[in-house]
Amino acid sequence: MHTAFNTYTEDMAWKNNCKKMKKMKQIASILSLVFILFLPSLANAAGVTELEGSFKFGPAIILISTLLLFVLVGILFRAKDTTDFYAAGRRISPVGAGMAIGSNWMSAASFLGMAALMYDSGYNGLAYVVGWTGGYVLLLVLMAGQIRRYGKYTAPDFIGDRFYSRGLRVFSAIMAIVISIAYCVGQFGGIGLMFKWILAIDYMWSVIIGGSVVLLYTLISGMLGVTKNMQIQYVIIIISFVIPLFILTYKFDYFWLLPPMGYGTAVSDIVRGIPVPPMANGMALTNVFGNEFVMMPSPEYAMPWDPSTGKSFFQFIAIAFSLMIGTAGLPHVLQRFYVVPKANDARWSVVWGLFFICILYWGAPVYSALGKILSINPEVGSLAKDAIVVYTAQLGGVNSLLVGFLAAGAVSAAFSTVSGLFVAGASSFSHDIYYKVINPNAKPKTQLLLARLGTVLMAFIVTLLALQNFALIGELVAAAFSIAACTLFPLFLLGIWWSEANRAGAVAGLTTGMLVTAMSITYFVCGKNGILLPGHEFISYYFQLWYFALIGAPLAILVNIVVSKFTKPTPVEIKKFLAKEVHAH
Amino acid sequence: METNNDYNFSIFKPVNEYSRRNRNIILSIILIWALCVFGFQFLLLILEKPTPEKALTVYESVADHVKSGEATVEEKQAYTGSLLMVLGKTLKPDARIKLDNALTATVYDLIGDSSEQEILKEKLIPLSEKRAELVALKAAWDEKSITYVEYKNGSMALNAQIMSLKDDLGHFLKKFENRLIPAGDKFGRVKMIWLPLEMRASAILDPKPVEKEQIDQIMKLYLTHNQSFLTNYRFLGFPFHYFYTAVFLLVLFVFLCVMYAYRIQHLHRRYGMEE
Repeated sequence: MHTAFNTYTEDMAWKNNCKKMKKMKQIASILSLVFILFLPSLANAAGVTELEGSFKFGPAIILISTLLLFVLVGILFRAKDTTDFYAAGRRISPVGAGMAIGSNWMSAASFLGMAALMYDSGYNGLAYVVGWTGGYVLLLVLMAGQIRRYGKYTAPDFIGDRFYSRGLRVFSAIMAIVISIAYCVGQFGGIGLMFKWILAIDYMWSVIIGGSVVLLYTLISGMLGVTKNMQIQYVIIIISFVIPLFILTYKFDYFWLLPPMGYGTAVSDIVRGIPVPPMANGMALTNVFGNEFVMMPSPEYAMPWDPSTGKSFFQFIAIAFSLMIGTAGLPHVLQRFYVVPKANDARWSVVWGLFFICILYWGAPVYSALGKILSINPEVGSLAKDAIVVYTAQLGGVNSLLVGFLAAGAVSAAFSTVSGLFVAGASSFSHDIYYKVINPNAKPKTQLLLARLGTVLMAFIVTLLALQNFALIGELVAAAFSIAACTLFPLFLLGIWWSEANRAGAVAGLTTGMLVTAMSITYFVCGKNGILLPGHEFISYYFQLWYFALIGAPLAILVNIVVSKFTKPTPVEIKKFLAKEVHAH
Repeated sequence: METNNDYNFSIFKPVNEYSRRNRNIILSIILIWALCVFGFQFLLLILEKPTPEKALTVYESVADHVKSGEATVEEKQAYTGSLLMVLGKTLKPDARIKLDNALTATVYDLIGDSSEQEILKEKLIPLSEKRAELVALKAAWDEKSITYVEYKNGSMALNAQIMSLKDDLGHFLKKFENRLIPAGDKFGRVKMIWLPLEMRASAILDPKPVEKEQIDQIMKLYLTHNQSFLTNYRFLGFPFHYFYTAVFLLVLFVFLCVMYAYRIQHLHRRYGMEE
């Protein structure tokens, strides 16, 4: 019987593999056809050098082909039921899940925003690099395996169950949606910038067009397609990001075999200045406009919390800390651990994910440093800082097709994250609010429909917010981290590691986190509109929207502990489950 | 009969050998992580000293004389040079305007010959007008009183005109290179590139007294940096502190994660807790 069953499952696995191979061949054929049809046009388009202003045909074709690939993969691997939609059928390997984590993580903020922050505020921008990677250590040691062992689908699922509260489930679901929206605003900004660069249209239309495409794709695919897509997207993101780095470091005479090490000399060049341009074939090296590769000494680029950047030591620490603990509280990141078969796989998927992420994060400062030198001449004009990665490649004279590929990589980065966030947000809406609270008898089909409706609603809100152009992409995304750090992180941390954390404590802690969040957002929005509330200076500095979790998260944890100590203890069955199943005592 | 306290646990109070070892692994990883990330930044803060660039020392030695009108040609050259050292950086627009005005007035003075000064004026006026048109066009686009296409085409045309006028001014100023920039200045070539980009007609047509205190503040702000041996020491081409934060910490994070995953896997095997 056992042998017959094994033979049957092997046979089924083989058939599934054959089907997947067939699908992949179909995708490859379609894409080859697109490239063959447009190859002559691409060759003609390769000479485009304008930073802005004209429609870029070659890059547009590359972008369209990439998007076509995503939609095709989404259709071919689309979700068939709720288990597929939420957790990709729980059959993704650790390396595959690591790639998905990497792709899911490497958003427009990583791809575009990080270099922009370093370009804008020098060493302080590195707080984002450290914050967005260092948080994975916390995530791994404190969360990954334990969450997988708890065995729930979504973050609100865990919170509702652990704190035996339907109200907390609903509130954490709402917070998950708020976090997803805040995170997506920056992504839509990045998508808008890249569509604007390629199509040479107004930012508003770029955001609307780009947002519609990513919405369409998420609706068609759901998470199974998303997970498969994320692996493909990871490859596109990394290749598109890394190739121009080799070209730029080679061209400007830095150690090109390993650009993330080779650019060290470029950083020192910025600090000491470049009085005479390097020569190649008897010609002085220049940017694409003919401006020589020279600059005055600019130590403010690399020196810590330089006064001229307007950033302080406190802000560096606050940003790094908020991003780190925010990482361990983001629903769409935590949700990735539900798609692997075992807790051990969850841990290794984080290790792989972090390694894949670091490949990009080691490279981002290279764009920033070279971009600083290449764009320093005022003749280059004012550039959108958030697009400095693409401008650097363009100013450095990288072939426009490769620059187009880079822009497609940026769009892929934003797409992969947005689709993951939409799924997390939609899951919270249909699964945690509708199915678990409003209508427990809802059929899977109805849940799926509601998840899709939720996705449309989120996309609409995100588009409206993205059009306001509040701040740099990286800063907008950092706000989502602070919200997660103040609201969900304390619940996860104490929920997993302290059995005495109870419902009353969780409610008090979550309320504290939400109040700090509301205060920070209110002061930010009022400040943006010229309304100065009492204590504006103090709140805007110590509870800034990008890093209010430095104070907010410890405060929420403290309140949770104090209230838990003085209220009715956690039920014994929950403590028992935690001890036996999660911590294997 | 189970009581509520039978299953109490926290990371700080392990109940058996497995959880004690588990706790030790977790806390040791978090300790290394926190010390390496935040400890190093605190060390940077403790060791740093505000260190001026050479250009600030030069500026401070001549600024009073330039303000009082008693400066020699060499002092004016040094003044111009130190202003250009700051103008070559990324500045806030209002700071740039103030330094541009001071620079233009000093350069005008250094040229000396009245007929050459007239030519300079003639070259500067259209350039400044075009720059003003570009600013107005940008403002019109920000207010949405023109379409994106109009803004795009208009700014491209204006930029081309500005570029041509700037080149013309650059050729003119080249004649006075020896009078404006001291011989042997290491950054002389870069300064001559920047000079035509920073000249403003308003500083000549509507001259105002040099706002010395404001310029002093700008110069101090942009020419003083927090430095220590950790920032001055070079490692693999990087300033050491930059390498540590941008490269090493990321390697450390991956290493810590690998170490944790291996040690936990080993622990689970040892206690027969593999899934």
